[in-house]
Amino acid sequence: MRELVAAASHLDPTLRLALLVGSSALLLSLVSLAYLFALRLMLIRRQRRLRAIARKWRPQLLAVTVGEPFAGPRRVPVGERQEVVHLWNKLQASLRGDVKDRLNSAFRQMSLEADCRRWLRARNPWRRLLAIVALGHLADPGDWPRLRPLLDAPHPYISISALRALMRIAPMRAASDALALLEHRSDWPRGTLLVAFQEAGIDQVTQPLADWLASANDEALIRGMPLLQTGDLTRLETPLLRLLRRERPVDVIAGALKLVESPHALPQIRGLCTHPAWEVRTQAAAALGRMRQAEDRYLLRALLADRNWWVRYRAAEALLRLPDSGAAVVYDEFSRLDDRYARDILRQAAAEQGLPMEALP
Amino acid sequence: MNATVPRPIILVIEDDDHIATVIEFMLQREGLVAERIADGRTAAARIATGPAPALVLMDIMLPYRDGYELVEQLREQPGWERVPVIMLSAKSQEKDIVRALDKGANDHIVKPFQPRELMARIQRLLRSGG
Repeated sequence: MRELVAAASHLDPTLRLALLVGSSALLLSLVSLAYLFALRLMLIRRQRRLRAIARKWRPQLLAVTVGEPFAGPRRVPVGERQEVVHLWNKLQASLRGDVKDRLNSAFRQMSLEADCRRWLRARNPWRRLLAIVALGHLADPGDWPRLRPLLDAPHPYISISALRALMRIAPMRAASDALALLEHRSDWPRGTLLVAFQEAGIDQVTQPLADWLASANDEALIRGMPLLQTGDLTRLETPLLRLLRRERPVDVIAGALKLVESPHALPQIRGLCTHPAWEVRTQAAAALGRMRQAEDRYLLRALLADRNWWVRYRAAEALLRLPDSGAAVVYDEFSRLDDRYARDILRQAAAEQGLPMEALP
Repeated sequence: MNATVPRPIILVIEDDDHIATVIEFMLQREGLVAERIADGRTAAARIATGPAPALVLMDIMLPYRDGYELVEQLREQPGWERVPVIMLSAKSQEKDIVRALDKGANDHIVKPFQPRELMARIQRLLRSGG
């Protein structure tokens, strides 16, 4: 070694530098490799440990789902609690009906609620999420004050999970609180929000939605419009009709047009067929198709020549949904059209509906 | 169950390992045998080459090949024409179940499911033989 150092000292400085950089890179690579190896070992050990916990507890929990009393140990070792709660949460999410009550009973026998309540304040977000979800399944009204502050949490997944948990405890109250926050929560995943409202059920969410519709600003309305489909639309009709005004934002009008079912809305829908935004005209044509009023034939015929393809397409679909829209009527409509685009779109819509189009010019 | 009588085999085609485990456990408790497959490609090969099971329990959304394709395939496979098929679908896919029934499925169960309802439907179809 000494000879090696002595030989190196006689080397050209550039070569010495290259040797130093090369040795350092080699050393760094070896350290990184050792680190990766250690991480891999830790992962394997962790997976092995989780599998062992699942092997131990899953049969006990599964037995509960087929109606057997919980026969597992009443005390879950500290190191196994997180994984047991995870397994229990997954079972709760997969099943419905009275089996959920039996699973709740098993959870209480294992005295895991206290851990979950403590984990709500944990630094580890995964542990917090597990606790929020578990307490939601338990649906104990006493946990509302612990979970409600988490609805305002900056992390979207913590906050939306808290909403789902709260929806299970007091759905009407939770729906009202969520709708009030909607304006500021553009980070909430829309799909999860919709599922939370769907799970709560139509009876629970309709009143909060009606109250919100009556007072929400346009920004909140745009964000929350898809939630309206989870409510009873006949009870939401009056506030929905108030949204069908030309001065409202395009997304609000178009969103409301997607939902209206009542013939009371017909005068407003017809008026919106000439709205400058194609999104509104498209949804107005689709709404007229749902209403199926024969007198709208002329209005829809005019929309067949619209400059936007989607408006023309929805108008053609709507026209074919009107009463007495058999092949003979379609041929008659077709013969009245001068516009090439109108004829093309009617031909396409009729073909999609299986009407024989061979006779058309 | 009598040891000389072979236990009916239920082919469980489900990519969610957790749900498949739950179903397998329930089937075993009912004296049935679960044969698990986790993706559409393996399921297609099993249908093409293996013997017909007593019943097929299948998710609609599967990797590689979906439940619709598999129902179509198994109805064309000699020996599988009358095998009862129950589709598993998420709540959001409820409207798609009509398509699965059109393709030849016998029944469907919405996830999350009720264990007792699932077992009752399986037993009914096993009794009727499809």
